[in-house]
Amino acid sequence: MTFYKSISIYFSRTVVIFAIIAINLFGKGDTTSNKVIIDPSIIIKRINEVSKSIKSIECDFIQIKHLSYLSENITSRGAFYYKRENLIRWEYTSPYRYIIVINRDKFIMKDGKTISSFDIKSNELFSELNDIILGCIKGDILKSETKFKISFFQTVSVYVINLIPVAPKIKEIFKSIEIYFNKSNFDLTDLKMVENTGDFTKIQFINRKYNVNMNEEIFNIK
Amino acid sequence: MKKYLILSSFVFFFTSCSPFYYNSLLKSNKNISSGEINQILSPKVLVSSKYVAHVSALGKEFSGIFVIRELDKDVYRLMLITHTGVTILSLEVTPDKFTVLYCIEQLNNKYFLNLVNNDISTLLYLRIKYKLALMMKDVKNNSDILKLDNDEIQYYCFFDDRERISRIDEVSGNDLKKKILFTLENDGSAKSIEIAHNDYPINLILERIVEE
Repeated sequence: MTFYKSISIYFSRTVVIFAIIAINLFGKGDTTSNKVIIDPSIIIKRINEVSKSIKSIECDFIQIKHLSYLSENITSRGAFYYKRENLIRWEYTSPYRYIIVINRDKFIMKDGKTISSFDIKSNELFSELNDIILGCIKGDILKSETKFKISFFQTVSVYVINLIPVAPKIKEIFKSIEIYFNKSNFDLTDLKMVENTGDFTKIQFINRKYNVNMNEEIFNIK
Repeated sequence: MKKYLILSSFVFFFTSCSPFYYNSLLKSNKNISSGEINQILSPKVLVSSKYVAHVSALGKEFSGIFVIRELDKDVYRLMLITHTGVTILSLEVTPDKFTVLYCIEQLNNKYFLNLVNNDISTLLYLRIKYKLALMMKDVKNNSDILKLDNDEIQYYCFFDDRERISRIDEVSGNDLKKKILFTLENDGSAKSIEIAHNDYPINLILERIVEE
């Protein structure tokens, strides 16, 4: 499997995991003055309940890539689709068109007219990531302490789940992953992936719709 | 026997003198100063820009985002990241130094990095590394071509109708090693850059990102 596919898989899986965990989430987040949550059991329970109730998600996203040496960020926009059990479409529409689809055990990328695909099961690591996703959908991803060191914070308006990778492959890429969600209704604010250099990618999910009828054809790329 | 020798000589002579484009160029009467070289080969095309990078290598294709920024005079930071934001290659370059700040394991080999170094050097530092330049004339097409020569490698720079560089051929002897094609915006920056290697099955196309 090529490096680029590997990285795309890592990222895509990780993003999806947290998008699903944060399923309820939307709203503006406030990351200042984080207070540690000592007993997050209620939050975890609520997340699990919500996860179980979600059969599909359709939303828009705004992705910001921050590089320390650039004065301006790289901003892209697109649409995200998820359907239970394991169908995902991550479609960039601006300023470039690019699509990632995870369709059961197939990982497909479309760049312009070029389509690449491969079997996720052909790689042990990707199978493991697939299990993580399923664990997320079932609501028990937060028990996955062998993969991440997990801690919980809160500000005035948001809860923050902070994940520090423990698994070596993910640790090579990410320093930490943060999920922000609105306290009042558990709506997601942002998903932030921080690299070891301090550069980060931040994704904001907006215009979310749950449990809409979704044609599975969108999870096939031809 | 005599007829055979004559025939062989004829064939040898004919093939060894077969027309070749670069050899057909004539030295122009136009002189070119070092200041003009500096201006012509200015790396303005790439300064502080973001591109979608489409890479075709060894039968595989992938794409990502290529970002370049000039940190200081002739000092550049370059990065290649995936569409989803993950950094896979980070470099800092000067005319004399090529520093890999970060490289994902699968790309971290000397062959690939040497190729990247060579391509970047061609795009950014030709005007620094080559002091000798000649204006050549393509009589057939009535066009001027700038030739940079260091005995081992020659660069032939072609111009568009606005006298801006539009193509660079890297040649060794009579062999075309690499071709770089520019599509320029009105301000001289590159809308797209295509690098095609003749010796290696690796091609790169950079398309400038215009954010809304």
